[in-house]
Amino acid sequence: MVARPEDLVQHLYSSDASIRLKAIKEVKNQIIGNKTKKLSYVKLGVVPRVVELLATEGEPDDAAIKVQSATAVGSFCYGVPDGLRAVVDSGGVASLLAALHSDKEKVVEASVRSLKMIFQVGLRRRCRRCRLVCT
Amino acid sequence: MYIDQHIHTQSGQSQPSNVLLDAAALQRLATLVSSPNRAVAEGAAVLLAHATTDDTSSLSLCSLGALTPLVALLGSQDRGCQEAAAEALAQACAKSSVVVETLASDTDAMAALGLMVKSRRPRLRFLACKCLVHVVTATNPNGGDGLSDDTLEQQPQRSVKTYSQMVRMHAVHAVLD
Repeated sequence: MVARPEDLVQHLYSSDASIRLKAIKEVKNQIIGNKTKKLSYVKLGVVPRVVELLATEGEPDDAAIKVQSATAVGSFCYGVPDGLRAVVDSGGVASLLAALHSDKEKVVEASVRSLKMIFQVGLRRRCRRCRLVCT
Repeated sequence: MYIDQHIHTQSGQSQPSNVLLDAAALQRLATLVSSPNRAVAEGAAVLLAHATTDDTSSLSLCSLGALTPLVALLGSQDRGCQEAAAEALAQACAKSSVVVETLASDTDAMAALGLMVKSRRPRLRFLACKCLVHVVTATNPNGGDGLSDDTLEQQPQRSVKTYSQMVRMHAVHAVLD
């Protein structure tokens, strides 16, 4: 059964790391490829919390949580201008850059992918506005 | 562009979109370009291309030793990696003559770019031509009338056809000289 967005948001703030991991994974799976879901989560104010989870250190499952939140941050930026705005406003880019220094390969890979997505989405939007061809 | 306008406000940097210009971030990206993980190497090269916005950032790319892994990435079997590396090099060449000189003295880089000009992929041909135009213009200043760096800067959005023509023209000039 698919969890309700409101419940998932609550679980993101749980003190239990495994519940947080489960919740962020569910959020990520729901938003990938679904603009409507992305928008509804952005409206629920989830992005700052996801960015916060990306910056957590020294907790159980923190690498797994970081991987999931980095992927979710990248996905929020893709195809939804409001998502990009929310990520930038909540310091998501700086957190992703900080995550590049992680010693966990998967965290680095997820962060690089998301940063690439953020900057390429930005570039595409600029090119469209300038009526230039950009592949 | 929102990201251009607003990223600098969170990082406190004077230039827009340049959170990537943070020294630690640049250094890390330069290291990641030589990662054995292709996705990481490609992503880092793409980000370095975005980070290269002016002469200073191009020079830091050079001083951080990012050029060598970028040139090595040109020879990668992965299409994405090749394009990302070519894009980063083209961007750096467009902004700094020091990078152009370094690239011109690297025979491996020249060989790889020469092969890429004949690639079936238009994007790769375009990026290789872009790099080569800067190299040829810098190394043969009398050969290209009206093709100085300033001209290139004024018209950065040339088509691949124009770049190819320019490379060919420069090659003819070089032969005639």
